[in-house]
This record gives sequence, C-alpha cells and structure tokens, in this order.
Amino acid sequence: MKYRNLKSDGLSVCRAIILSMLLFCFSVVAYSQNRLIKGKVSDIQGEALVGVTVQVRGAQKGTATDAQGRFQLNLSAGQNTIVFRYIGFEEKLVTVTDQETLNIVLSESSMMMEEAVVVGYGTVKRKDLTGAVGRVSIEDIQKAPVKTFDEALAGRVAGVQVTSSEGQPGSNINITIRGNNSITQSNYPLFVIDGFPFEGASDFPVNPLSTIDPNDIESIDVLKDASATAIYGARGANGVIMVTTKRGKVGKPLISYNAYYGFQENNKRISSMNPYEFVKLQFEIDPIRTNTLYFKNGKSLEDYRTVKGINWEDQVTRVAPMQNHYLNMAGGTEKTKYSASLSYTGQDGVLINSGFERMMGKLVLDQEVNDKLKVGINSSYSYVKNYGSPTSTSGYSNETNMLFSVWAFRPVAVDSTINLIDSPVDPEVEQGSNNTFNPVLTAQNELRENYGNSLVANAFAEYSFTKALKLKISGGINRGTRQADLFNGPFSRAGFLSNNAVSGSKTFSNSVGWQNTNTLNYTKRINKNHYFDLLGGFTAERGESSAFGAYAINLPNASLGLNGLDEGEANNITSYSSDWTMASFFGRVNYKLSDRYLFTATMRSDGSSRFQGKNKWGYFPSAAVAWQMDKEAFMKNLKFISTSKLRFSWGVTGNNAVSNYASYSALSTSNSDAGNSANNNPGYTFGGGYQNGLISVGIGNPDLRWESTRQLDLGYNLGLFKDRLNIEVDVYDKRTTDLLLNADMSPNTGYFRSVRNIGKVGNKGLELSLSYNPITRKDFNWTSSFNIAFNRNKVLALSDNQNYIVSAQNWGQDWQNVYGYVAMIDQPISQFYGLIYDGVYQYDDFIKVGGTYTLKNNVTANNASRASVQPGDVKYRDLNGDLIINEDDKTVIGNPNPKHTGGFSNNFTYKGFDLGIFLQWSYGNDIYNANRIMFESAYKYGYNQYDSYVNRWSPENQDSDIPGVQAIKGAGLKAYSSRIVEDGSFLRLKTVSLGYSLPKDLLSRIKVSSARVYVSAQNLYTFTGYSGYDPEVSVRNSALTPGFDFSAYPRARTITFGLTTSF
Amino acid sequence: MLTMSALLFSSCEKFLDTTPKDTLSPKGYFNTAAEAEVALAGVYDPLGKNSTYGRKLFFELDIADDSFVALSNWTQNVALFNYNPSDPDVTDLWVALYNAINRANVLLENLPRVQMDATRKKAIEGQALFLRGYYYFLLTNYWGDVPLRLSATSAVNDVNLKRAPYKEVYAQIVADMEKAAELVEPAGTYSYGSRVTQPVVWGILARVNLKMAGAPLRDASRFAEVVKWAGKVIDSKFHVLNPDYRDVFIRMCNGTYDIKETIWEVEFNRYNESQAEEGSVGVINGISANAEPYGYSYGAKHTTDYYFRQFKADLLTVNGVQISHSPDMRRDWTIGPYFYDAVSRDKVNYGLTSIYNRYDAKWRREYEKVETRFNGSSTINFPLLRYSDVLLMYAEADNEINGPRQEAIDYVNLVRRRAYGKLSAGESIKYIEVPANGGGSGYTIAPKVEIVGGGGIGAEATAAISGGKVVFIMLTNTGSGYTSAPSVVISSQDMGSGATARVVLTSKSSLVSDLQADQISGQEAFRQAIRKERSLELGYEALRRFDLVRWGDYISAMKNVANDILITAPSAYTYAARHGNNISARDTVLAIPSREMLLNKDARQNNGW
Repeated sequence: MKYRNLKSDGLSVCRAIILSMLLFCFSVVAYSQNRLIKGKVSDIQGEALVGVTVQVRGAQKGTATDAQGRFQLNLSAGQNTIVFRYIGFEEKLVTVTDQETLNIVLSESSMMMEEAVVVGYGTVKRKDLTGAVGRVSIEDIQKAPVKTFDEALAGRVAGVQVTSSEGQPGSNINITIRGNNSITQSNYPLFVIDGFPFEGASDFPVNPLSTIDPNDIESIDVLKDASATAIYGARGANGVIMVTTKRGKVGKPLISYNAYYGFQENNKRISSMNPYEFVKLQFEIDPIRTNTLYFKNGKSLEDYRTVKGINWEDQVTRVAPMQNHYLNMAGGTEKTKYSASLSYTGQDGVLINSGFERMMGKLVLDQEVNDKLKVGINSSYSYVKNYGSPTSTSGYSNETNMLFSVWAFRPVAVDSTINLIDSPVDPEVEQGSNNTFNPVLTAQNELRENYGNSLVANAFAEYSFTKALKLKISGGINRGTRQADLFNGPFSRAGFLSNNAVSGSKTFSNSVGWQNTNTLNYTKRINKNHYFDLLGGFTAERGESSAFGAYAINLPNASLGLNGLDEGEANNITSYSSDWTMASFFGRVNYKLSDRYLFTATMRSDGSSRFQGKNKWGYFPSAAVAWQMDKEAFMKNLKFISTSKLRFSWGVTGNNAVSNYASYSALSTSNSDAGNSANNNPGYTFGGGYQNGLISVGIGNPDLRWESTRQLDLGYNLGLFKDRLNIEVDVYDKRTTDLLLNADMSPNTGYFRSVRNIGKVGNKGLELSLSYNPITRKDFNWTSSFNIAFNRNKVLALSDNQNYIVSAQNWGQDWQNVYGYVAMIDQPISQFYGLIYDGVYQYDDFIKVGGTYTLKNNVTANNASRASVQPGDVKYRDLNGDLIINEDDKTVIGNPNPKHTGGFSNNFTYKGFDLGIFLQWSYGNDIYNANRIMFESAYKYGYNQYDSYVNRWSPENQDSDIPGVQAIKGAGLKAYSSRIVEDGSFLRLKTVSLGYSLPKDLLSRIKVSSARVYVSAQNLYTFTGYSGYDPEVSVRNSALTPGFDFSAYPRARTITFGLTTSF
Repeated sequence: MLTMSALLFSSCEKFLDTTPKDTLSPKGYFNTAAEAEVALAGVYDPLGKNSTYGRKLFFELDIADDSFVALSNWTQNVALFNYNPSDPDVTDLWVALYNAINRANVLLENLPRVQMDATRKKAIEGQALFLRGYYYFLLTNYWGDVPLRLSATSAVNDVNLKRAPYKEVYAQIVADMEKAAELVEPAGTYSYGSRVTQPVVWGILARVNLKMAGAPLRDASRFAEVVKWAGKVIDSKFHVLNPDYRDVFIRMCNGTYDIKETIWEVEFNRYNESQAEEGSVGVINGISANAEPYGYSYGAKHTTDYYFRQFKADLLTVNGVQISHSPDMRRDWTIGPYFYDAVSRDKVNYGLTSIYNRYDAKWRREYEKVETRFNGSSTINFPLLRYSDVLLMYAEADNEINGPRQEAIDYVNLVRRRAYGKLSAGESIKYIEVPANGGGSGYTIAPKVEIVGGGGIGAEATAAISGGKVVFIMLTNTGSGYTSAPSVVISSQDMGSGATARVVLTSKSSLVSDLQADQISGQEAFRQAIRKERSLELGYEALRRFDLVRWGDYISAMKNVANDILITAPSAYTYAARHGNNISARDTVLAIPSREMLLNKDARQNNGW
C-alpha cells in the first residue's frame, strides 16, 4: 500500500523548491574528493526514494538521490558518518568503514510531525505551528470510493462537521468547522485551492470541489483557530480548508492509472401498507366512499388479502453502477517539473434517472528560469454533470415531492384492468384533492440536468532578491459555466397536469473571477536564538456572476425535447448579473526564540464592495504563542516524550457572507424578495393591457457591516515514543458579534426579510485527536487514529431585546407559517420547537351520551373546537393548564446539535495486503422525521401510509400511541410534536478497503512498477435507532433549520473493485 | 511600503464601489410620468392575488349562510373556522395587504418629485391614496384593530407597531378616500372598470361609512355620509343598471366592460399568449367542469337550501315533472340550475331535491373568451362595486335616518324590476312543454334542442328521453327579448323522430316585482327588505359576510343555517353544516397571523385565540 517514491506523502510546491535549491547549493560545493561512496536509498518496500538528502555529518557537503534513488558522495579523509534525511522518514546515520557501496533503507517516521503544513500564503513545519491546524490523511480519503473529497471528509478531522443533506449524487454537503457562528448566513468554510480562495464554494455555478478528482489531491489542511485563519480576514470566520493538488516532482516520468468499478444500492426499505391494510384503512377513514369504490361488485375487504400490491419503492430504486478512471503522468528535472492528469467519474443514482458524471483534465508546470526566478502554472478544466429530479425540494405542496408519491400512491387499483404503473395519475381517485403522481413516470419524464464547465488557471512567479528576501506574484482566473436543462415531458407531473403542458427551460449561469496576490517574504536568523519570518502582501479580487435563461410552455412536439423549445410559447426570461470586489492588505510575523518559543502575529484589512461607506473596511488581527517544551532541559531526560508543545492563540476573523447588494434598497418589476409570494408578478391589467408594476423588494440596510468572530484557542501536542503515539488537544472559545442575520420582518412593514447585524453567538468546544502506530514491523504495520469533538453552541444575544427567534421549514405552503425551530438566548442556534406529544385521547377522557363522546370538562382539548375531539385523536401536553392547546403550549422538543462527533480509523498492512477500516459517528442529535407527519397519521383519504401505521389506535387496539383515523377529522393544532422527533445518533462503518499489492518481481517482468488491487466499500453499515432512510440527513438545510427529513433521497451503500497502478 | 499602501488604498475605494445591476434604487427612480405609472400598477396589483380577489376573498374568506365549501375532505381551514393563527390563507391576506400599503406609501412619498403633468399627477396621487384606504378597509374588516402605517417602512428595525383602534383606522380611511375624491378623474375617463375614478371613490366611501355605522363602531351619524356619497354616484346620472342582470356577469367573463353598471372591478387577463395575470373566478367556484369544452372548474362552492329559498319561486308541473320557476332571474343565474353531463357535455338540470349540488354559477367559464382556457385560472373579472349596490346602500342608510321614503323605495324597486326582467323589452321562456303524444319515437340518445324565432335570443334547452320518447325538455337558459313564442327544433341524433315541444313565455307585465306594502310599512320592515335584497342581488360577490358582520348577525346566521342544513340537506351534504357548527364568537374577525405576533412585539392577539 505504501509506495514511497515520487508520489510520497506530500512534497508541497514550496518544499520542492527548497529542496531543489539545496541540491543546487550542494552540487556546487561537492568538488574536493578523497574517496567515492555510491549507493541506493529505498523504503521498507524496496521502492527507490528520490531526492533524499545525503550529507556528511559535520560538513556542508552533501547530495541528493536521483530518480533511481542512487547517489554518489565524496568523502574527505576523516569523514566517516553520512546522514540520510528525507521528509516523512526517520533520519538515519551510517558510519562508513571501507565499503564503496551503501544500500540504505529508510523507515517512515511514525507520525507526520515533520511534514510541512499549508497555511495562508505559505507553509510551516508542523512542529513550528502556533495555531490549530488539522491535516486530513489523503491516503485514507483516497481509499473511499467517492467522487468528491468532501463526501469522505466527515470524521477525519476533529471539529470539522460534515453533513450531506441527503443521498443524491451531487446534493449539498454542509461543512462547519467548530460550530455555527452565523444564524442565517453561510457557515461554509473558505476553501483555498492551490492558494486561491473560493468563498461560498458550494454556491458557484460549478462547485470547485466537485471539479477535483480525489486522486489528484496532494494535501488537505484545515485551519481552525484564529491564528491560522485571521490571515484570511473577512472570510476566515468559518475556518479555512487548504486544498493542494499534485504538482510534478523530480524523477523519471511516472505514469499512474487508477480505476474502480462498483455498485451502489439503497439497502434500507421503508414499506407502505399492503393492499389489504390499505383498503382497511380507507374503510375506517370513510366507509361511504370506500364502499362505492373498493367494495363495488360484491368485493369485500377479504378479497384484498390475496392481492399483490405494487411496491413503488422497488419501482423507483435500482442497483446503480459507479466508476472512476484516473490517469496521471508526472516527473521532471530539477529545473522543470510537470504533472498531467485526466480523469473520468461516473455515478448513477440509486433512484432511476439520476446520477453524476465528471471529466477532468489538468496540467501543472513548474520551471526554474534561473537561480533567482521560478515560475509555475497550474490549469485545469472540468466537465461536471448531475441529473435527476430532486426528491425533497418542492415547496408549494409537500405532496408533490417524489418520495411522497412513492409512499402514498395506492398499491392496488380496484378495476383489475388498470395498470397503475403505467398511469400518470390514479384513474380511480378524485383528482382535485389527490396530489400523487406516478413516481416512475416522474423520474422518466422529467429532465433535470446540470452541465457545468469549469476552467481554473493560475500562475506564479517567485523572485529571490537574496536568499532571505523573496517576492511572489501570483494570479489566477476561474470561470464556471453551467447549463441547467429542465424539461417536463407529456407524462411528467407538470407536463400532464399543469396549464403549461409540455414545457422546458434552459438556464445558463456564469461566474468569472480573478485574483491577484503579491507577497514579500523575508526570513532571517540572527545568531542562534532569533529567527524571523516576515510576510507582507496585498491582494485584489473580483467576482462576477450572471445568468440567462428562457422558459417556454405548451411545446407542441414533446419528442424534440428541449430542441423544440422554440416552437412553444415563450413564458419566462431570466436575466441577472451581479459582481463584487475585494481588496486586502495583510502581514504576518513569525518569530522563533531559542528554537523553542514561537510567536506568530497576523493582521489583515479587507475592503469589500458589499458594504457602504465607512463599513467597507474591516481589520482582523491575531496573535499566537507556542512553547516547544520538549526542547527544554527538564524534558530532555524524559526520553519517552518526543513532542510536547503548548499553544495559545487569539484572533478576530470576519464573515461577509451576504448577497452582493444586501445593503442597498431595491425597486424591481419582478420579485427578488425570495419567500414573499405576494410580490410575484407585481403588475396589473387596465382595460385588457398589462402594465408592469414596480415595487420595493428590499428595504436595504446601509449600516450593514462585517460579522466578526473572536476566537481563543489553547492547544497541547504530546508525542510519545518517538511520536508513535500522538495526542493533540484543543479547547476553544469563539464569540461572534454583529451577526449578519437575514431577519424576518414583521409583515406590517411590507417586507419579508432584511439583512441586519444582530446579536451574538458563542461556540465553545474541545477537540481531541489521537494517532498511534502500535505495530511497525517489516511485514506488519498497524496505524490507528481517533478523533472526537465536542462543540456547544449558544445564542448570546438577539436584536431588539428579543428572547428568541422562531423559524419555519417551508416544506409546503400549509407549513410555511408553522414554526418548528427556535433560537433562544443561552440555547443553541436551533432547537426543535413544538408540542409535547402525549399519546392519544382514550375513552376515559370522554363522557358518553348516546353514541357521542364529549370531552370531559377537565381534559384539555387539542384545538379550539372541543366538540370535535374524539377518542383516538392526537393528544398534546397542556403546559399552561388552560385546557386548550394553542401556541402557548409550544416548547423545546428536541436538539438537532450533536453532543459529539468523530471518527476512528485503522489501517493494517501485512506483506502485500492492506486493510483500512474507518468508522464515523454523531451522537446526541435529534431529527425531525417529518415523513411520519404524512405517513403515520391517516393523513388524508386515498393516500397510502407506512406499514407502521397498521398499529394505530383503534377501539380494538387502544394501547397504541399512534393516533387513530379519527385524528384527521379532529384537526388538532397544526404543529410539530415530539412524536416525530427521533434520536439521530449513529455510528457508521463508513469506509472499508481491502487491497493487495502485487509482488515487485512479478510486476517488473511486465514493466509495471507497482500495482494494487482492492475492494472498497462506502457506507457499509450504519448502527442507528433512526427509522428513516438515513440519520445523516438535513433537507432544506440552514443553520436555523437543521436535521429535517422529508422525502430525502436515500443514501447508497457502495461497493467497488479497483486497481491502482504505476508504470 | 507605507506610501505604496496609501496609494493602493485610494485606488481601492474606487475599485470597491459596485452598485446593484439587477434592481433599481429609489433615489434614481421616480423621475418621469411613466415611472410613476409603473409604480401605481404595483399598488393595484395586490387586488388580483390569489390571497385577495383572485380567490380567497370570495371563497374561503366569504363563508356565510348562502354557500358552503363543497370539498368534503377538507379538515382544517379558515373556511371551516377551525384554523390556526399560522393558517396560510390568513397570513397571506395580511401579508398581501400590508405589502400593498407599503407600495402605496413608497409611491406617495416619492411622487412629489416626479416631473409630470400636474393633472395626471393628481390622479395618480388620488388612486394611491384611495387604494391605501381600501386596503386598510379590508384589513379592519377582517381583523378589527390593525397597525396603521402611513409612511413607507424606512429602516430594518422598524418592525414593532401597535395595533391602532379600529376607530382610528376608519378615520384614516375616510380621510384618505375623501382626499382622493378630490384628486381622481371623473367617471367615464376610461372605457373600462379597473381604474379608480370618482364614482369608485364615492361608492366605496358609501360602503366604508355604512360599515362605520354598523358593527363594531356603530356610529349612526355615518348613515348621513352614506346618503351623501351614494347620492353623489346616483346624482351624477352617469350610472345605470344593465337591463339584463345576467349580462352584468357575462361581461366579466368575456372581457367586455359595462362601466355604467360595474363601477369598479378587479381585472384579470392573459396579457400575451402565455403570460397570465389570472384569478380563480369561475374556476374554484363556477359550475364544475372538465376542461373541454367549457373550461375547467372545481365547482367547490355550492349553495345552501336556505339561500335558494330566499328567491321567490313558483312550483309548476310540466310533463309530470315538478319544477321551480323563479320570476327573479337572479336565482337561476347566481345559483346554477344545471350541471355539465360528464359524457355528453350537455347541460342537465338539477331536480328539486338536488339543491345542495348546485353551484355558485355567477361566473361561468362557458362565456370566457380566451382560447385555451387554463385549468387552474381564468381571465374572468371580479366586481368590487356595482351600481345596484350603490342604490341599495343609499336605501339602507336613508331608511336608518328617515324610515321608508319614496326615493329609497324606488331605488330598491329599480333593482328588483331589473331582476324581474322589467327593464328590458320582450319576455323570457318560462318553461317548455312536450304536448301529449308529442314525444315522438325511436330515440335512443337525447336529441339536440334549439330554440329559434320569437324575436329573442339566448334560450337553451336539453331534451330528456325515456322509452324512445322525448318526455321532458329542460330549460337551461331562459333567454330574453321574446315577443312571441319561439319554436323548438328537435334534431334527432339517431333514428328517433317525431318529437315536438312548445314554449310558454313569461308574462312580465303581470309579474309583481316591487316591494309590497308590508315590506315598506315601517323602518324595521323596510330594513329587513333591503337586507334581503342585498343578499339576492349581491350574492357571492364577497359582500355577504361583510354585511352580516356589520349588522351584528354573522354568528347567529351561521348557526341558523347550520341547523337548517341538518334538516334540509341529504346525508351526503350534512357536512355543509361544519362551518356553522365550528363558528364561535371570536370569528367575526380573524386571528392575527402568527408571523405578525412573533415578529411584532407590540402586536396583541384578537380575543379567543
């Protein structure tokens, strides 16, 4: 599994440069000779190691190994000890007697304490870090069969919480670092890809993360504390993820080909009732209608016992293939290095007619022009496509979401000549009130495709005035275009039912951005005790986005698809553009005293076009100190301690995640005030002529300013037994003020929302990471790492002396004003808010007079109309004892925030075999399983229900706490209740990978330098008590409304078979 | 380095200045007349929303004793009076009206700096002022005390506002509208009825004052104001009743205007092939229909037996079938006498036992003119003020001040005479009879019936067959203008032949349409007569609930009709009593929406919530 030659663990750009400089220096001085030593350096597996520093102890002279791992060194008389140093490996001292050849085997350093970590505008050795920076193990990520690395990020780094909203290929992945700072604005971290920041990466027309093949990644570092993130100033508050892709390295051309092919399936089923149970339920709800429909022509309930119903879930799910092919060629000389990759990824979704596809090409070139000037260019092009109808986003009515129809569509038709699977709508039911639409035809006849093209090119030039002073100028452009195709065929819901008939649209979205960064770096060591590393810089950035789209309806020739758009009636044109600019100055001082006291201070000032006047500029300082105790004399005696470092940092970072023109008031002739449907089509007709209307859609807030987050971090690193065991602990305290809040406006203002700086939020947490290498033998190696993070999130203040903010999840028009979430002072940003479910009304709650049950006077009614409450109805807890359930009885009924999250990874190698097992968990978070509102409630006549509803309350089954069918007539207060709050804790066997590396001697005969075959599985098994498809779910996600499950796309289990080779 | 920074800083300021590209800034707008007109259209726009006159105000929010929601599977709705304060219908109306008010305020504040013709500018100001008043009128009708915002919301934290007492709200409405009356253009300025002109302001001022004179304010001094404003409309002599009651609504359907009768209407239209500014008039109500050939209708609003009985009727037996003939043609127009047969698409009359099946049929899509009638929406306009309403308002207020006076009695009688067809020439068809032995033979499918000649137009009928014979001719449209009995042409669709039928015309001269002595014998008698007349004349025009509430009769009327339903409705329709069963004292107004309660700290909820 370990192929330590050219693609070893992380020679970053800078290290490659430093190394080549060293080589250059050494080759100059290596002339006086006494005797020649030749040799070869390899790793434990026998792979040649390239670029190993070979140096004579106590002398300046030295060399480096070549592409075959060979070296030559001249030794003067009396020099007999040679030092071999290689990053990531244990240093080795060899005493030479009189031999002429040396074959050296270097073993990997047990931990990665020596590696360079990518930080803002530079790199730093891990042991010299003053801030909290987590590194993602790229090898582990690359074992997971995922199309983008963010899918495999969960549980890898303490404090980085990754939740994908549902299982659809390409669905949103929500990443938060050390908790949510912001209530309504983005909490998404800043991604810095090869040195260039991408703010709100997930909002780009083409998400830059999805354009990267995980095979192409060199390193991922997560900057967590303010000392590390403040250099990114206004965009650093949500943490920064530094992604570095592969560049060329010195050595002969190495061609790698990696591929896998596998299958995904939805291994969890949620069954609806069978025909007998369904008809029985219908009869209980409405005997009159059921008699005329189901029991006509002498049929009885018993006749449905033997009918085989349609399992709609089976109709829409499938075993779906997934594959990836990655080809790379890399190599170089000391002056010129190159890397070129080509990749293809294809993933079909587990629901029919959905999936993802990517093609990517990338070229990186680094050239040393002369000993002062180095230049490099990195460009990549990607084509990304995802398709398939979203299952959970329909907002007007929750009944139009696809899985609603899967679960609610009748399993059986009464007339045996009707084939429901081919019928768009159910031919036997009254259409006015039934919203089911054949889900198979929906999937087959709705086209929802996004094609994205992304081009990223960046280049740098670095000029060394002296060894100490360097100027680096870099610039980059990125351009993304996405075409969104939408087509409603004749048998899609919209095509079949709506006024627009067959309709379609094409929408083109573009983003163009450029960035220019100029840094001046000065490093100086003044005698042994003082080392300075100074950095100053200026950057300017601009981003522009635009969209254009056209929608046409009543297309006469459906078979032409979108090519027939011009034949239809033009209906809606979308045209939009927006831009932003940012200019920043920054500086950093690293000072190292006596090689053990480290100080870092940074300062950044950002100017943003999003704010007005004096609010444009923001200032973000940070300071950190670290103490390498292991270098102190008192620790030197404790031999088992190899690393002991204490860190402390303080800093301020910002968040400017508002829309580009949020501070301006806006008049428009079309509604851009999302959520306020009262503003749609604001024109009017006079005498048959339509007059456009102009309305005020945004009130504007000229006082808008940055949201700022102050963070304290105290960290401790302990390495034992030559760093075979490493422990890293961090505690932090973040406080976010001037919160940017897209605050609801009271309706009497005439506005729906406005962005305001409101309130304060605090996050406190503890992170613990352990890594251990229990066994390192020549043929058996075991490494293990574990991390756990605890975060406590608290609202500290809200605006206008508010004590709480409530939020609704808009999953249907009838729920958009039902507030299911609350943010209360001294409580987390979001908690579930609703009624406490108290089972169902039983007979003894009533007085029976004749055949009517009248609620006893001392029993609380579930709504204003006491007379309508009947046995079997939903019962809620009356918190204020006023005998009526109303808004005043709502309280906190659940917490969607986990108590802790983490991951546990183990890797074993035995001879040629390797096994990786990765577990990930989330503990203590609740989920709203809103599916149960619709499918465990006798929601409406004509809709099927989950088979768990068979066990509902009925006069014959009075022990049940599931409301009986009467509940649909009783009409209790519409609210979320604790009945649908479920524990979302889970432990997931997330990635398991078993591989075998073919023996070298066998491979060398077929001119293959390495080959590994493997089987790998993702989401293999999940231990959870959650009753929905998957506990990692958060549809329609926002910081205020997390943990919501309705019609979420199921999460697939993936098993792949793969091959990695190099030639 | 410092110098460089300073240089960079100054050039940065320019670099960092971006302005919105996709929206306009209020500072840069409101310069030209055209811009003011566009902003004014935005103030009118909320009249035509789904949450207002596009649907809710005449359907879910006009539940009274004359109709019921015929969607039996509805379980919780504002129409059923078992809703929650978070109910979307309630919220949406509130949101739409305050949106509208802010639009009016923005226009009124910016209008002074628009460079334009002074007369036209006055007219724009008047329309915006009037509409702001009208939106407040709707707000206070539905909620009582409401926050009163008279200037555009200016800052993001300007979210808390106390509810002003309704008295104060009415005073503001009157002030706005009275000022508007001086500013807007006179009657006849436009050839269509969707603009606010003087008679609109006068007529609505009459309605506002009538409301102020009733519950909850009960300021009797306002009756004089009603007489004043309604009198202005009448005295202008511009407005006259359309001689045919039915034509008033047919014109709303087919997009022709009758500005003499329909003083103000909400205009719905399709403004090009596909872009719709449409409502649900005739779609959510109307005669239930599949798309072809009449246009889709849910037919979700049915009549009550109680309302059907309010119209004068004579029972006749024709060919052995008992039919109810009403000389008041408003009955069979407001309450549809027929349905569309699902298979033959023929119009088929309901029997006398099927009252609860009958639809609110005031607006019928069969008259809609656009091609490709959309399933979910129509281009049918909705009336906001009709001349007959003005006449009845005048009479009601005058009676409250003076008791029955001839002028007021004449106005009511004018409305009634039109209803009885007396303002138009000729007769309508009373019934069609198949003579003994005139049924022909051999009919296996119903023949087509045409009514020709006689000098009139519009009559329609459908034949019913039994045993090969035509046994009965159903009259689905009584037509108008007949001077002699037209002939009935029966065209066989199969081998049938020989059927004949004869027409019996009404005899209008012998009909008594005027109020009888006992109805004008005193103030109370005349008051009841006028109240009933309003129900007959203005049924389903989003005024019944308004009237009942201001008379203080709403809850008792709903309870009464619920009892009546339980006695008169067949078992399949007893659910129609839900509205009356659920209603309680709190329901003369709506709950303040949860969204307002939660976001406006100064809001207080209405009683009973």
